[in-house]
Amino acid sequence: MENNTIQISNFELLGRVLDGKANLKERKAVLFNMSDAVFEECFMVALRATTLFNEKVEAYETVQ
Amino acid sequence: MTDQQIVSNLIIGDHRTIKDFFFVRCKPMLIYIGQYFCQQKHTPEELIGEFYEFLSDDNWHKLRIFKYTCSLNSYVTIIASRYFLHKRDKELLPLDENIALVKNLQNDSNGEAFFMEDLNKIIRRLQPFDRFLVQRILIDGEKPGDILDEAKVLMAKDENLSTDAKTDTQFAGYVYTRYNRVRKGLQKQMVAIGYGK
Repeated sequence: MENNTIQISNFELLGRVLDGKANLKERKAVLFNMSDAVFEECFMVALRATTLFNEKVEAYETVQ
Repeated sequence: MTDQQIVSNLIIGDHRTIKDFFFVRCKPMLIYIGQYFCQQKHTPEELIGEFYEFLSDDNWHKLRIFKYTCSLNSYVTIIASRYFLHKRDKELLPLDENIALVKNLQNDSNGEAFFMEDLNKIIRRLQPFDRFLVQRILIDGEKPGDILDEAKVLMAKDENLSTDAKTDTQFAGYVYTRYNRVRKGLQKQMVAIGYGK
């Protein structure tokens, strides 16, 4: 984190950014890494996909 | 059901949770990411099944190390994006086969003349040093280690380029890394205009 480098494999940090729960330093680090084309593509695809979850899973309510 | 409960049920192999999680809750997300990176090569069921195999690998290791500092949705989304991106790059970019990229793209194209014309257009837009790397390694089939002297001369002439490499080995590493990055960019641009699908 000191040099603002984030690996794509830092799943939880990136997950916090997707959730809007990352701190300022983490958000800046992600922005810094967006200059890397591979990182940018991976993160932006994930960002778009986060809106697509089907949360209406009735089975979760009924099964037990 | 909380994220912790879902993860626990997945790890113990609860069939209902596995089915609901992968084939209901995550289905739209996985189809979007899977088809974005691996267009038309797999059915939705194949993509989901493949990701299930990946996530459950090594006794659900990736879920076992999850510390819940973010939502399960976001955690799985990032993992899926990285997984399918890696899968695409692995299929499209066989490392250590420098010339294979050109041949693979060429085989899939509609005409060699058009292919080379489009390829050259993209290459002409590259920085001079990157153009040199593509020409010598990708097109001519030279090994990175064999073009180091020429690369050094070119770098010395170009004020925009600099490297911290002090030894020949470090400089070779710089050249190889830079070439790979240029090659990936070139690959993406060729795919974007219709080659290699």
